[in-house]
Amino acid sequence: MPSDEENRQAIAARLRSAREHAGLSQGQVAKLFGYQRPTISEIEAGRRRVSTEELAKFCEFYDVSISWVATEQAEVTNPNVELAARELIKLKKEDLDKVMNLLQTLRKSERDKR
Amino acid sequence: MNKSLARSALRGALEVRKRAQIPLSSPLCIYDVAAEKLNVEVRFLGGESFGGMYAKETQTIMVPSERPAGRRAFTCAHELGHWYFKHGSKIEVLEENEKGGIDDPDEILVNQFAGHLLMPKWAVEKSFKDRKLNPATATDQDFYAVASQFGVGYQTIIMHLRYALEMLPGFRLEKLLQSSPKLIKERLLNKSFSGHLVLVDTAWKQDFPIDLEVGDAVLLTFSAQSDSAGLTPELITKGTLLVAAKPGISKVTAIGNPWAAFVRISKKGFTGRSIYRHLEDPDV
Repeated sequence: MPSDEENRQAIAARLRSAREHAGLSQGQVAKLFGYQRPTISEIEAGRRRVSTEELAKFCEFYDVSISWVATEQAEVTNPNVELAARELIKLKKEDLDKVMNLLQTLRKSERDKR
Repeated sequence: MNKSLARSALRGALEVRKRAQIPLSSPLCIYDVAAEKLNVEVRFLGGESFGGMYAKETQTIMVPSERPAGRRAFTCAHELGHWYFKHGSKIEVLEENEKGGIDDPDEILVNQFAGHLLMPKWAVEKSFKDRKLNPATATDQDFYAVASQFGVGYQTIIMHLRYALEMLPGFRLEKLLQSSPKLIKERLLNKSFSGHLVLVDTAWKQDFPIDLEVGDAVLLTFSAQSDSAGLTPELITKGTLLVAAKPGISKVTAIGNPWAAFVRISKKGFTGRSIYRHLEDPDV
């Protein structure tokens, strides 16, 4: 079982990855959150604890699932299942990896208001 | 094309505009409509073979960041079609798209939907009317200005007028397709320009944003100015040329009349959430 320290480091790494996937720099996040820039660096280096409220706020801004950031468990089912194999084999391996890596971070939609 | 598919595509596009409260007579920014009006997440993603995606479970549209501006907008509208028609998750591969000859009815439907959503007949007619133009006699440069306003590619708007709206005679199609954005840009600037050039004339709707990536430029056919460091003016014999220098939002105002518009600049090949693409970056 991973130690608290290992967990914190893993969460920090996923927060960094989610920020990068969202297209934000550390400076932009600091500005959006009203934090000092070093605070974001400290969080992403795993040197500062993140409260549950903060984690939820990061996930909302990055549009990623809390379960993925906290435990690396994807909220959505394996997207491969839904996509036709004939579509997937035509994508270059590195492009497919990019798509799949992003998909596993996303929140299941609560957006459908139709 | 099957008439029933064509009718569904048109109906869908009109319904989406209505839901987003965008008038049929106006161009739109497809990313803002999807993300801000319809609550569909839009992400830009890189990848040489990646042509776009709609992920149903998360209601996310992924747009290929390395494609030309007009192609990106059309792809986003196409993927929004998959969302609207409640199709399953779809992924587009570039090689397949560019060969043409798509035979999947869902893909034909959402392509038509995208065309009508981005370029509804009323808005296209108004755009030509505002410029005192007739599509049957308008020049390649006129079409380039109209395409700039709708945020789509030069060829895309020509094909849409010919085949979907039936507003362009066949002989004009051939003539217009002999020209290209590269040639038009060279003629406008007296030099070659590899970035995307948005041509803004006096008919450009006041306050409608001009979207650029760093390295792209806007050519205004009249005297204008911007006080922002995000736009660098370049000398030109006629009109005003402003080159996008850094991400952020700037205002451009005409000199001698009250016209003004915002210029929204994103990083070249921006990847990430569409809602963040124009944020200024204190780290740069």
